[in-house]
Amino acid sequence: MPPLPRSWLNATPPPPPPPREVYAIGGFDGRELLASGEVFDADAGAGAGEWRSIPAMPGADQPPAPAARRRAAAAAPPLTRPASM
Amino acid sequence: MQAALAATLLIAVCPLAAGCDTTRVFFAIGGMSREIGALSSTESFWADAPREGIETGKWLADEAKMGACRDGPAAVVAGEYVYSIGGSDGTDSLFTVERLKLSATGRSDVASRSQMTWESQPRMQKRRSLLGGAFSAGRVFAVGGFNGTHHLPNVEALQVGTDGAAAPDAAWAFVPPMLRARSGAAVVELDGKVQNLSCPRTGRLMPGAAHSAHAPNQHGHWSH
Repeated sequence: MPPLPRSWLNATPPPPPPPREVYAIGGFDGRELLASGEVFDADAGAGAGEWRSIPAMPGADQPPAPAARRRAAAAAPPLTRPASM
Repeated sequence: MQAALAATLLIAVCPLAAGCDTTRVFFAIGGMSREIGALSSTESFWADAPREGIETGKWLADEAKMGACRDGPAAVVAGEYVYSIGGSDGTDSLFTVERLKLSATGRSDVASRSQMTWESQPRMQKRRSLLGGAFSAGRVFAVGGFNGTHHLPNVEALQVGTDGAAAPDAAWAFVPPMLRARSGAAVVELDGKVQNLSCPRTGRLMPGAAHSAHAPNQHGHWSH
């Protein structure tokens, strides 16, 4: 069997493909606005995998300015949205 | 664009046709009008330079309306299709799902526009409005949302082919639930790069929508 070319021996393996993930960030849980987030490994098989916490957004704890609050209240959608939202 | 509250805005880089060029397009899907209520209409805005057969630089009211009025659906681009998932019809949260072939959108000629049709897709197992959506690893994800009574931690996924179409016998299957219930969350897939951001716009609830976003860095910290 002929020896392998030196370039083959020195070749570094290709980097693994980047993970494919789904992030869910913020939102509302029925009681409070959420600054936290979670990440899920999308390559996990059917029914497998788990959501993991990621660090909370640091700016989300800052109260909105009064003008922004008024705008948000004026734009608050009616009907089937949760009353607490 | 028609004035609408809470239209789901999907910003995507889309194939015009299989194996063809890509372009950037915004979709405004459903939403809520003060006059009409929940909307079944959609509009698209093709952002790239003019090209033959495509109208660019303005909002186009898409010819076809969805089969249901949808306020706060999730919108996802998967392969050659855009999916509109759940939402509220003004009375109930919905478990129905529809899809539109991307190559039918943005066309200026009557023949192409007349072929635009939203097609019904398998129903989710849970009713959801204000949910998040993503396409990753060959699955369309429906994440959290609000069922009219409860905010949901659970998540479902629909397996689709490389063209983004689900098999005729495909069904939504639960994946493990999130740690927290989340409605109105921003949901994004990260496949080495951000591809799109599904944004059920809820005003003050949303951390914001962008064409690209930063994930927490290697140290697990957010950057401003």
